[in-house]
Amino acid sequence: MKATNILIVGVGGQGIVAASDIIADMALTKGLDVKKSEIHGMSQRGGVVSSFVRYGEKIYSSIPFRDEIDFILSFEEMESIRAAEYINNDTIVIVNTQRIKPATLHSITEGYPDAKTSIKHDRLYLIDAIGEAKKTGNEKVVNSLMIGALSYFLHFDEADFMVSLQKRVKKMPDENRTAYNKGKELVKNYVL
Amino acid sequence: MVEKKLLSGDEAIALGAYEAGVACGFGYPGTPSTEILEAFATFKDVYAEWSINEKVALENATGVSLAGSRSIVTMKHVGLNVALDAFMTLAYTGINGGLVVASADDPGMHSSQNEQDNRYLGKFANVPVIEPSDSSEARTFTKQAFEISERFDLPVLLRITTRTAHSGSIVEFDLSNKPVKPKKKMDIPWDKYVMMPLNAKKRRVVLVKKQEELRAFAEITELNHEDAGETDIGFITSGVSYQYVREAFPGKAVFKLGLLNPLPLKRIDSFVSRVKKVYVVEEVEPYIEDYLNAAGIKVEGKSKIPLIDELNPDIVRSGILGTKQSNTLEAVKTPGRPPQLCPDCGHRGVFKVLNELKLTVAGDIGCYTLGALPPFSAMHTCIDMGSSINHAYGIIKAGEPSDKVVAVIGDSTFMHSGITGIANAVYNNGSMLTIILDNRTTAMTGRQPHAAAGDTLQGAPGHNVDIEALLHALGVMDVAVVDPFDGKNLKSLVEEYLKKQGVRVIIARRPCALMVKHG
Ligand SMILES: Cc1ncc(C[n+]2csc(CCOP(=O)(O)OP(=O)(O)O)c2C)c(N)n1
Repeated sequence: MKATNILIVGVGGQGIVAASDIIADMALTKGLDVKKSEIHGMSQRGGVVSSFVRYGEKIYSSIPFRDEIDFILSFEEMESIRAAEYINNDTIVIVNTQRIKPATLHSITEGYPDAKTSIKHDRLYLIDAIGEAKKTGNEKVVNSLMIGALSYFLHFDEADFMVSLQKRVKKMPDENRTAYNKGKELVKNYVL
Repeated sequence: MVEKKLLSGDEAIALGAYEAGVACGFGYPGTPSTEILEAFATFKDVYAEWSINEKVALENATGVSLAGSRSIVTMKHVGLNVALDAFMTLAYTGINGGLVVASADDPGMHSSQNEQDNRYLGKFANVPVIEPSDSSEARTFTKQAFEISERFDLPVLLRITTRTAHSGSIVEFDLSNKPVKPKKKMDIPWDKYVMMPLNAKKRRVVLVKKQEELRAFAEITELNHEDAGETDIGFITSGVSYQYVREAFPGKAVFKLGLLNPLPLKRIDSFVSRVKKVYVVEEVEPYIEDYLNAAGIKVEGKSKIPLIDELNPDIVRSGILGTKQSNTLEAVKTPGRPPQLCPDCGHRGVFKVLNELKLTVAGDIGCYTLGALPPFSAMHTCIDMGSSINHAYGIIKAGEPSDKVVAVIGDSTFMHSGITGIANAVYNNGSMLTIILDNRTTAMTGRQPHAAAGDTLQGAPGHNVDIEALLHALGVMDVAVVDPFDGKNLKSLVEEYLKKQGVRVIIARRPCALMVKHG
């Protein structure tokens, strides 16, 4: 069994670490070997946050080879572009098109790069996760929505998600469940 | 009941310490070591505290050890510099209850001011150095570290790096049959612990003799092991680098070191003689490589593997093979996203004023170091904790005008190592202005309470040091407190205080915005 390699990227405060914990835990519950690795030194200050999750029969390094990333889950549009060097022919890239202004830009419109034109890759899923999350009544469930979108391609179902989620988050189980399924649906119906 | 959990290396060390019956944990926050003590503090029937600095932490732990209990001390790599005075001579005296210093190096400097390699400090002090390569080992090696500490009557240095500290991997454990570790009898023979030359000379002999015993131990301990495999090329490695080697070169012979001081020279010599070409793969300095080459075991390492930054499987593979493999998209230039002071951070108010006044700013370490970046660009030094006050003092002693220079220091940093600088300046008739950026917490490392702000680590109400009263007691004549968001007052106060003579301090006080938001 080949290892599954996931790269999760975003901006400090978006819950990248929490999301990778849940994904790793779903794999653990399935009895697989799991490792995860994150760099969040200055994340509280709105810097870039990234996390690798790897699972399979036996995992040595928590960091995979750069050209062996199966999935990129980007919580912010521009951060998916920064992760482009991890995209191989088969990588599935799921992007929340939420834009968070970096301090180096004067405004969110001027100079903010567009993922669709910047990333020359077919398997790019650009979803308005934050917008959809807001529709469920609370934008905090955006993480569940993103995990749902990723799970569409993995062997995890709603029950696996709910078990791992509720080890950490007790609040809003129904909203999170709805968001998870919405994420799956968005990817399923996505026209590439 | 056997539990199976995904734990970070830090959490696993805490678990191992708990299982080893450690009674007390001491530390000072520092990425990536902070979570060790935070996790340890949550166990039942243990005592854990944020000490005021790393030296105090180690000395507190020494007291616990002398009294007969086991103790752990946690800090980041540079913390051991602060504690080094205590550490070096503790190797001479030895211990009673097991004592382990867990210190976390930060290859790649994700959140540190240098990339120092603390394996050298362990060797320098002549103490065992142990390094795990994942969370499961972090737990078991911690337990072994306490056994080794007591067996050899030495403190042990448990060295981890950012990737082992902050990576998660599976740990299996069973707390239902955790052995109880009763306190030993207090045992403090004066000729073992009073390090006047008379006794220290004898203890030096003992320490050197222990090295022989340790070298024999290194040859048999299971902390070191050999992964059999193909021998056209083979590797000597340790810590997280071991995982990268196994990833990049599956099936090759590997000698994995868990005990980094002393090295098992006989076993390594035998390994090297059976493998055609041996490479040492290690992060940062050529510690293993130089050690082996000095012992006459010829190995190669840093000619292939970079001295700078963290490693990863790609770097290890391409370094050894000399080829680059890239089947991915090219990197796309993307606007940077540098970390920022929070929008409602009180530090902003101070740096705005310092920028406007165009002062020379001797800075320090904390969130506020971001004041060095645009738009503030109002910090000129940041070298080690507590240094700001002394830098400003020296700049002025050299003849720079004291109304153009200011020291800025955070409240946690001031308590850690700023107080002595103020006392020194008062005593030596210094004339300078210090601004204490008092956000009532140690924000940089995740909002830990400290001696002058907040409860204790385990939630007891802290008896906080009163910074104003402390400054007055030190002999500081001019002390003022101001809200950094009260820009007008702050600016005129700074201008007024710059013109004064003597040692003066402004406390810019406003609770950390994240604390207000998250508690
Ligand atoms: C010797 C040493 N110990 C620990 C650290 C990690 N560290 C960096 S800054 C800091 C304290 C920051 O707190 P404070 O001075 O109150 O500033 P704030 O971040 O709250 O603005 C710590 C613990 C370090 N760099 N050096």
